[in-house]
Amino acid sequence: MYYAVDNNNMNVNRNMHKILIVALFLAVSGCGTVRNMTVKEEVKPWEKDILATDTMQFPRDPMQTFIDDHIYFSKEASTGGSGVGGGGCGCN
Amino acid sequence: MKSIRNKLSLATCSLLTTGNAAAEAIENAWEVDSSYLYYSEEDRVTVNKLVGTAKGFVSPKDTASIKVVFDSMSGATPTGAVKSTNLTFTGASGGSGITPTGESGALSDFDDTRVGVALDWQHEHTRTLSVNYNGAFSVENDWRSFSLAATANKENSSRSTKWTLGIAGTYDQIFRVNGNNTPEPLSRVADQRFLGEGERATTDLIAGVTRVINRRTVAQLNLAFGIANGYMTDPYKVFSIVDAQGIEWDQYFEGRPDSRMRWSITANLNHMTFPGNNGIHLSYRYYSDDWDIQSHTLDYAHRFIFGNADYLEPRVRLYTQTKAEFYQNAFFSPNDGTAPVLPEFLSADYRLDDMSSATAGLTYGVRFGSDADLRTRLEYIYQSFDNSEFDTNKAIVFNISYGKRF
Repeated sequence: MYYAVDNNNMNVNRNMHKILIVALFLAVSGCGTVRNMTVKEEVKPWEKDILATDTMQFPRDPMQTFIDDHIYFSKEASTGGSGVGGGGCGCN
Repeated sequence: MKSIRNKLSLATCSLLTTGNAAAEAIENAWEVDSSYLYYSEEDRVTVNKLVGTAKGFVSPKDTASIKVVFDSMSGATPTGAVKSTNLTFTGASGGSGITPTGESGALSDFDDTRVGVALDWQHEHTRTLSVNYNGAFSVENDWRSFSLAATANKENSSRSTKWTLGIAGTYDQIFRVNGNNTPEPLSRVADQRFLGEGERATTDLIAGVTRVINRRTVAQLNLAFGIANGYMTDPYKVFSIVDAQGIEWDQYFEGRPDSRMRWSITANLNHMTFPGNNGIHLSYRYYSDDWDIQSHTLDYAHRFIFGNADYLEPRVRLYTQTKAEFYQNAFFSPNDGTAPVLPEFLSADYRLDDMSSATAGLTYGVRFGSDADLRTRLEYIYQSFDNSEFDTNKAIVFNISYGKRF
């Protein structure tokens, strides 16, 4: 390797990510939402009204997810994780 | 799309629903969705994309869908070369088959158009087993891609758990737009040695489980594995041979391994809060491959749902990756008349560098009655690269989508 650029961006960005992740979890846990998310219940068919909404689907907006996958596939080294098929591209 | 049985159960649920939860009533037979994307990087690439989908019942147990995609991409893209150079670039080819921008060959202009079509067929084999068959192809100036996939979904009798198993095969043909060829890997650009079109075959597998946790929470875990063989190199990318001062004195075409094995684990969570009835959407993916790249992706969105089912959804995506083992920004070799002794593989493609990225955005969704919706999204993407010649990339995303059920 000829030279390695040490611009300190890596350390700054990783610290920013850690702060953001902690802030997200604090915001969520502060209102007891974490408990509501993790309590296991048997759900009867007539109780699946909320689960049937678009908001609760994986993905909740297939069009937006498709476009996001294409953006990040073109700009990052990692791909996939949520489905298979659909072909590839040589996007720069 | 849902079976008749599900439509009836959903209809019953809608009669019992109170509050702001927008439960689906009887499902309509056909759905269309359309989207326009404007993606623009600062001083670099611009993409205009149009997507149209149509999906509908063709029988009580079968749904079919078609997706058409049109992409127009243009702008300046990093070649992999450094900015400081003793080389001169003349003519349209500039020695690398692409048009250099400015005084160095570090950026090049490109122009590409892509059209893709995907067909989907979902068949409900039994009450709890459905299989989705997918075929897709896309064509652009320098790439042809064909894929086939099959994904099976099996639910338990209470429909609280769904297992997914999918397999896909993709065949790509890759070539430079000028000449329909590929450069000999790790050859001098000035020697202009070219081979035929590149070919690549990829097999992807996915296994997942989706589980209802409670009335307001559903979680998903996916394990994905992929293996690709064939031409993995970018036929346009080069790297610089630099002297002790970092000045480029020669250029070589990059060369990557002829295989890549990757795997990832993704966890997704959707939750509707109580009593606010807003959506929490959390996703985490860990990725690793045998090019020594590992990445973490964390995506969080909070959907504020209003009384009329309109919504405002802020979103944050954080991403970090390690560099490929054969990535280098440039290769040092003294300019003394001797040829550089290169490693087996080398690429200066910035997308393979150590990188961190953050995306912040906002989506606004508007419902028109029970059958149509309009979603508008604005996002900002910031990428920071540790070693590349261009250490940041900033982009804005504007996306507008309209969907209707008939």
